[in-house]
Amino acid sequence: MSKRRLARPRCWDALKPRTIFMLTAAATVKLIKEKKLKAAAALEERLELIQAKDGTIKAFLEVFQASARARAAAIDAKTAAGKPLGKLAGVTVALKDNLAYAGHRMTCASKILTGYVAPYTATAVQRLLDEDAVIIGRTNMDEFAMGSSTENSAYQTTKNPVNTARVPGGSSGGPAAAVAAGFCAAALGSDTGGSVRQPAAFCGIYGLKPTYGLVSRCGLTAFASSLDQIGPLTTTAEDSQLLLSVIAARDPGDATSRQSPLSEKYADIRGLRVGLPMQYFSARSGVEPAVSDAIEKLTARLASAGAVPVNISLPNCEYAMAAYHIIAACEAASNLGRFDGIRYGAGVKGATLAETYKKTRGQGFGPEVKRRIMLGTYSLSAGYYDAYYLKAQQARAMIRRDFNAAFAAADVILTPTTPTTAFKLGEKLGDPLAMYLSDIFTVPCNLAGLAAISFPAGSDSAGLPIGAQLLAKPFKEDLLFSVIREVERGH
Amino acid sequence: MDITTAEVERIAELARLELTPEEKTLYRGQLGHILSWAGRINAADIKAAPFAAPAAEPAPALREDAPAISGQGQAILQNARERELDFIKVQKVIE
Repeated sequence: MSKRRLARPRCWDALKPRTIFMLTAAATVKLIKEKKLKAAAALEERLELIQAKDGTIKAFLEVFQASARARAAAIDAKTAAGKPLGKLAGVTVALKDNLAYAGHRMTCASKILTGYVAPYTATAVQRLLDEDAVIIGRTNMDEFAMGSSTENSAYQTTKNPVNTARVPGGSSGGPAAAVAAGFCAAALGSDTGGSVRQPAAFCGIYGLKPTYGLVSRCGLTAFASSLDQIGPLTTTAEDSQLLLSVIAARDPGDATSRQSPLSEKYADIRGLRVGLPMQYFSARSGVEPAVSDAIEKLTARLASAGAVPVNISLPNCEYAMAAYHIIAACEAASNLGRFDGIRYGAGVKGATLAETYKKTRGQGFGPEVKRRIMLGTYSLSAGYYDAYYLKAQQARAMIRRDFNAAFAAADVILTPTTPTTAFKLGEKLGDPLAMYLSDIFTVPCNLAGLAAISFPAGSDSAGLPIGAQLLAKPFKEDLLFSVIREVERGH
Repeated sequence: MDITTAEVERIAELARLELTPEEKTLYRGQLGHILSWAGRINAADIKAAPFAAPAAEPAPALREDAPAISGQGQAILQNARERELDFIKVQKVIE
């Protein structure tokens, strides 16, 4: 039976020996289809674990007990009636709190959406439901997905299940912690500049950022629309591939989504060129020795399997962080304009309509969200547009050009996901710029709209997980999975 | 890069954000710091760059502009702060 191959998180210590919460999504489906496991039993054990341990981890903002139990019962009834089951039968999936699920609350971890109930279901979530997945709850995040530690939530601070003195990463810290702790088989997050990959790396799991356009963003609360993409967090590469195969589709609800057939075949990696960007491994890049050692080991492992490591250059990536923060802030300033206190969420009534807007937004948004709205508004304002927004878009074009050149010399690109392992809670909270820089290796991929995945690559001397990142050309997710399969075959 | 309190107030007005005096002081320092750092973008050699296309390539595929019933009317109205019958109630827009 296929179980997670990751380290046992500390929050499992002193638990009586049970196994269902260690099952992967694929293994759960198999057992349910073989009638060896009931969806209700698979769900109950996860719920018990949440009850016992989430008081410490604080991954969930709300557990959807009633609707999850009803769905699990419906799946078991289908089985009993001999009806065919979906590809995700009985798989428990947690949602980041910026994904809409009709009839359920959604806050984006912000006070401004207190009491909001989603009137419809996000396309990606609906596709999971259509394949008989069980949505188990909504999980914590940095407010409106702005942050890298989940400490910017207006509600609670999530802990890293591997070491509770450390952050789980962000902004999808709740989904990553929930999966790493075994509270659910998988989760959906969103990745604007690394928000799926960075927490996956910090929590020791797999986090996929699909190619821009591969997964519909309909029902994902918009942060930066040209960068946002929904992606799965899982305990194996096989599960990542399984969830992607379900959520990837062209959707009339998102004009940027497109149909792209996903190859389920694995490519032969002999002769595959693995690009190593020299800028990412320079002394200036701030990569911890344990992290660069892990990437070196991976490179050697791939070379011994017949892949060909090649040095590549991404000269404009040093401007990626600045370009990203300007573009993301500008898009956020525009997208978050809809939170006016009138149509949804909490509102603070002023004497005039203008005052209602200002009070609602001033009191409803947290510090990081206000900071980014201010930065975006400034960068788009008369007199500064050319120096910031236009320049950032031009730098983005240069970064895309760098990647086009790099992908002429390499088939995939290998980098660390983050320069360091998970940092301590509170360590970077007072310094926004230091927090931004933890995404230095993940951001360029979003600017270029590429496919990327973070996967576990060992741990440092303190036992904290290290993540490796693989990048591929748009719609070449199959190459990412082929490489990981080869790496893991050697373990 | 120095940002003045007047600039912070102007940006907050444009962004429809009511800030406390403490927030104005905080953002004045932090925005100045972040903008100085972001200003490094001006060192990028963008001679070869066109005005950047959006990330979506090829161009977005628009659906037919056909009227349809969403069936979500009541669920949407439930979220409004104030409503009257089937309308969302808004304060006077034109002063």
